[in-house]
Amino acid sequence: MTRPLIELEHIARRFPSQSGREPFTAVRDIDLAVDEGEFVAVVGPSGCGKSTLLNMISGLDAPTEGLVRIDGEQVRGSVRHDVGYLFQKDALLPWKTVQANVELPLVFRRLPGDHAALARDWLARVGLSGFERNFPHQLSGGMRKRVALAATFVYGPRILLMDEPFSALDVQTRNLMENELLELWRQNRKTVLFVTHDLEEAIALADRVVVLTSNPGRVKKQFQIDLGRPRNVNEIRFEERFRALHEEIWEALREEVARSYAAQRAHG
Amino acid sequence: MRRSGRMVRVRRILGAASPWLIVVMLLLAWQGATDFGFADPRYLSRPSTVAALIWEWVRTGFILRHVEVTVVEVLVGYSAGTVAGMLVAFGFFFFPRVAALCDPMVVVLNAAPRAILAPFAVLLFGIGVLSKMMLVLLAVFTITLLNLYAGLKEVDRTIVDNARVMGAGQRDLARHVYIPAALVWIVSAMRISIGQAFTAAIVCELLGATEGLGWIVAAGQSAVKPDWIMAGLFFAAAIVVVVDFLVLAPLERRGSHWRVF
Amino acid sequence: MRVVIERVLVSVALLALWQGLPAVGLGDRFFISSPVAVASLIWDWISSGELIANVWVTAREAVFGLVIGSALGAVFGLACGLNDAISRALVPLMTVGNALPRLAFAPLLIAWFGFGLSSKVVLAASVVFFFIFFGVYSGIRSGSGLLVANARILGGRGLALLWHVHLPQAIGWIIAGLRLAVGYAFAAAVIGEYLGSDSGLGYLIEYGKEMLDMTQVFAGLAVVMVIVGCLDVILRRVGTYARRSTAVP
Repeated sequence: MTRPLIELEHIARRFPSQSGREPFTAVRDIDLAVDEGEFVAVVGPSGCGKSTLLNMISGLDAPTEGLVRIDGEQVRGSVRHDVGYLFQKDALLPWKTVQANVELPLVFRRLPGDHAALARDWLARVGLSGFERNFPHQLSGGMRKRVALAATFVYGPRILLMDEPFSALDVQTRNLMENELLELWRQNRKTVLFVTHDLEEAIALADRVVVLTSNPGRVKKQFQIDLGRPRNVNEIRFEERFRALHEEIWEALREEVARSYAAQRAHG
Repeated sequence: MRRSGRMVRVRRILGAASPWLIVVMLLLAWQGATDFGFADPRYLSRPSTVAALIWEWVRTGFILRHVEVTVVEVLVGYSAGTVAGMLVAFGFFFFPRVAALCDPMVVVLNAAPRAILAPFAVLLFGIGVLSKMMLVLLAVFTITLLNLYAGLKEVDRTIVDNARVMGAGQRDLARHVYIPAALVWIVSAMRISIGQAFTAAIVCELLGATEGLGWIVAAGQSAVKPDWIMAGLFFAAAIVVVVDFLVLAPLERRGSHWRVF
Repeated sequence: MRVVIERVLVSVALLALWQGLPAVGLGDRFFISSPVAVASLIWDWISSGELIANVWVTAREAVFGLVIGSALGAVFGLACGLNDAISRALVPLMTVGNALPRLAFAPLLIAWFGFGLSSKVVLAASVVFFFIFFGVYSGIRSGSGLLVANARILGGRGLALLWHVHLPQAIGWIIAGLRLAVGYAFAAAVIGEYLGSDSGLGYLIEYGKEMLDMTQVFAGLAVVMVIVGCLDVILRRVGTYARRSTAVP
């Protein structure tokens, strides 16, 4: 048995709060392992520390307790260079063209080779040929997400962290992007950790779904998604097995969503 | 209720012309009041007198020297103030402890328009151009510093995180993220400070100078020549309006989509 | 807490530097005066009643200017914010007027209104006017059209609409404008006094300049800065509170 690519051991992350109150615990007691090439979705109620988890794996943030290991090597306080990260919010630089935005990681990493050609190639793969000289504010939300995808794939990270990347899009665009992501993943076999609060999206995309508890987040239960591939997210929702899985996982998730909702109401 | 196309067009033209109509009416009222003895032209002067004086100054070239003096003072102080403000803003941003230490001083500096320090500048740096340049510098410095520092703190966290994950080091962040983001704020600070820069220079000239637009106004004041005061202020106002609306405003509009999209 | 102590330490160090520099041959006492001299002059002013008399003169000019300028600014701002025809006619003029170096117009106002109270009041009012005008106007214009439309469907009209929907949305802008206006009204009064007056803080400072008495210039400016700084801090508090209580989601 080979070693998992990403290993989290007893992770906890606490944030100091103002005015001497109890520190805020975002996540605790998290144990999770992700194999190379696996597509794992993490679901949980809002505020359960999903984004914190991704930040710690990328090295943007460090756990208060426990270890994060990638390929057996501990991640500690500095950003990993084999990780790609797709954020929920737009993160393109508004003052650079689409082409320049996709070339940017190659510039940052001082990679050799023809940056312009590589960027054009990836823009073509996400269907944005002809938009190289546009600025982000001239594109639709879905197109901007594609630019962000191209800018992530262009430097070939082994691991792809995705933080509700499509949640701001309308349903049609979103399904389109999900299918495109699956196609890119089929061709490149990255290891993907996909955070979402949409259970259907999680089941449709992933090999495995991890359910987190409400705050502070812990791993509640994990489910193998034994649906065949390649998948089409529009059609797979109607399969019998999809519905059964949905029912089973929702059983675990519902309790947490209710608890999180009650906690939010208690805090006003 | 439908209006004919012609009605709509007439209304639109009237709407666009109405600011001009107001100005013309005010000027006519002023001229009429002084011509028909409702107001004393010795204090109020009259538009025709001021216009004649403005034309004479232009024709004889008398005004050129004074415009030049004031513009050079503003230009030097303005450039130095912008650069100094940028440097300190970046310093504050990358060393937040220093910023916290200096915060009360910045608040005090910012609470009142810097033109108030004009007597201090004149006494310390003399009645030459240096005192005006220093005062303009101080005015522009504070505005640039506050605007840019606030702007840098507002640079989207996600954009910074994204750049870091893509492999950006500190220098890459400064060059590709912070400095372009800062440009927008610098331009908007330049717009805010152009008026303050001219105010500072002219107020300083009013309190002690031998040339410049403020000196013309001061000379008009001490000789009780209201047409001199008005013609002098006319040139000051005209320069500010031209710089603001023809140079800085279009520049700011061009950069506006950098902030949000 | 720690940062407060550090700020105090830095201020004390700067004052000590100011006091000590001429003693070691750096800087001329005549030009840079000293904090001890400035403090003792301010103390003299306080004990002789001179300070309170001059602050009273300047404060009266500033407050009258503030009240008149705010009232006019609010009326014009409301008219332009609520009526398109008026705004088309006036807003371009206001934009130009706002760009003008208005404080430099002080000599003109002194020529018109004399050396006394009224010229400074008009100068202060002319500065305040634009801050309040744009505060009210932008506040109403930048408010959510959705809220207004919804309130109209619910039957809101006239004053009720203004009071319950337009003004709460504009309050943050108005407070921001007011905050700037207070400092500027005070400064306008002082600058007006520089250019023609026989009393007030600006007169004290200008007189010090004429006498080449740096200590008096510093002392006068210190008083002005302290007053304006305190007003600014108070208004900042008020602004935060007002914004919180009318926050639009």
